[in-house]
Amino acid sequence: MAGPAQYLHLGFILISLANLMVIALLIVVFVLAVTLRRPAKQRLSPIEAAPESGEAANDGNRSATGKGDRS
Amino acid sequence: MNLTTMIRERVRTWMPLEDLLPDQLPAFVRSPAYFFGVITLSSLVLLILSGIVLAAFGPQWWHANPVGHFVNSLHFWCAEAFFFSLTLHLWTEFCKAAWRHGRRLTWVVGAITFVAGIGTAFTGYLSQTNFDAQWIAVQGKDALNAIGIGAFFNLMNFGQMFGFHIFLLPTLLVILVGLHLLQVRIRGVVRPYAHAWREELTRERLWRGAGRKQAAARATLKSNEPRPLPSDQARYYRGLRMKPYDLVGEGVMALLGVLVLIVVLAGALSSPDDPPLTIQQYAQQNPVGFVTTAMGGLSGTGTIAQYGPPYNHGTGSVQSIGPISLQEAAGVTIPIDVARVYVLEPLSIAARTDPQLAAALQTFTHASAQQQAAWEDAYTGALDKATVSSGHVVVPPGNYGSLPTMMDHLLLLGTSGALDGLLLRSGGFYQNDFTKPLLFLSEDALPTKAQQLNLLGSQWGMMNETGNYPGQAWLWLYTFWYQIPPYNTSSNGDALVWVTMAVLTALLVVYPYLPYLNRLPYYLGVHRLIWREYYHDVHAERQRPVGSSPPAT
Repeated sequence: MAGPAQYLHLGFILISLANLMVIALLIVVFVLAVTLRRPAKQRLSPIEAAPESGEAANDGNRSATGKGDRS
Repeated sequence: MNLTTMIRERVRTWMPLEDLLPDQLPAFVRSPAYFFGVITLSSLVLLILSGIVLAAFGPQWWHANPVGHFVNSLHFWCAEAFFFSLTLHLWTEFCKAAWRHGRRLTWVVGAITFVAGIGTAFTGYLSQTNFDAQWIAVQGKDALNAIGIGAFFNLMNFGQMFGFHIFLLPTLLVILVGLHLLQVRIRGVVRPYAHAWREELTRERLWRGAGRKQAAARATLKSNEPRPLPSDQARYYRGLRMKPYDLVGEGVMALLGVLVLIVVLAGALSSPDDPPLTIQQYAQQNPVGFVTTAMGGLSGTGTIAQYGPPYNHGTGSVQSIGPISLQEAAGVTIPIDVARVYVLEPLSIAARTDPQLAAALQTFTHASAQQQAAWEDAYTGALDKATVSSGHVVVPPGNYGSLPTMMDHLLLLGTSGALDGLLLRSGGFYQNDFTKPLLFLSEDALPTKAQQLNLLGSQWGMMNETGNYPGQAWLWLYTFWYQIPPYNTSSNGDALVWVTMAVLTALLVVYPYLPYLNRLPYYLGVHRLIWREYYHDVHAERQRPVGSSPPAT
């Protein structure tokens, strides 16, 4: 690693191989993070059985509910 | 009014422990796109821990001791991990438009944290006490001098940079991160975009603040409930599927994961640590270059002699933005009389025990300015044809006055290492300001080596590291401007880049407040990927006949 650095020269862009790998890895991890699905759907938590009301209904999510309202 | 009661009630209302450390979060949070914040936090914790060890043992330890160098490598890879995850955190939060529903200040604090992180890392690179630190200092000084900051924030003053790096900036960073975390936990993570933009706007008005827009939103919702408190997560998440979540457990796992990763990287790849250049090495390896640099200082034709503020009243490197020169406005705060500091003063000290040198020095200093200039011109010109014989610089015969004797003795001071010590003197007992030796080396020695290592500004050098190590990739945009006109052709290039980056950074910080532009994530559509299961569920619910049971999952 301490030896002479490897560089790619593309037009006015001069980039070290190490930096290019970091940037490529950033993009790959980002794409994976937004596209990967979680392993498996988990069961609904008990609190979802409570009835919903108010502004949440505007999402059309009729089965999903929230915790007890503190207001 | 009882302030204690008021603060206690406000804390109780805004920061209930069940929201600060919840054991349930909305189901949509279970996406890898939500992990980068905690990875960034874990990297910061490990950065601080490894930094404390480095600070406790000092530079000699991390350069010479194998264990010290390993801890230095841990710190290096922690910094890489920190910025890697911080960049991904920034990207994913942007795609989620995480500033919605009253979270604009959360974004602002996060963006300022990003900038503070860059400042902390920058002073860290300056504190390495190796060649990389030397080069970053002399290259970065021009950028900071161009906007007047260099007059007060001297990159070549190791003591000042070390203080900033190990205390002031980390403290600021920890405060900002703590505030950011608190903001996130008080309001919770932002909900996915509503299906219809009109619904999204209603929710935005309801949760963003008080006033007529909020009242209108409540009327739209036909809500009889009181105005929502920003911290009312139960109401904010109403209608969303909640799932058990172990925030602390996730933090511990992230910390262990990052620790394992950086230990492996540090053990396998080590870290860059090119030894620093000294004036002694320069004088020994390139005697003609050393004497040429010294002559540039004596005759006032060198770059530093003509530089301008903050070192002198020259104009050679003075930059301005239109009619305004912040560099000149800041003034000469680090005065350096180049001829005296680099040549006359060291020689006068050596002359105390050397009559021949004392006579040569007297001949030169008692000559008229016109005579001195004639000797300097002739000798500088002759250096083009100079040779080195037995450690002495030999020039063709000519009328140089006493300059050959003076320069021969100065070269002796250089090759012996005495000049390194003399230039470090600052009047006090402890010496940690490398401004004078680094400015001397910045004339020729440092740029020559930096060019070989592709570290010049024109070589995207600000984001490069010595060897095959990854550098400061997060500085790519700052570095980019130096490659294109008018920045790379203007004599005010540094100042122009600073202005450009200041504007872009300000836009990043206040992005949530920019009308229409702050809707960009919605149109980019990446949020549909991140929250696709949420949207899938919402769609399924809409298709389901009223009164039927939701499918078991």
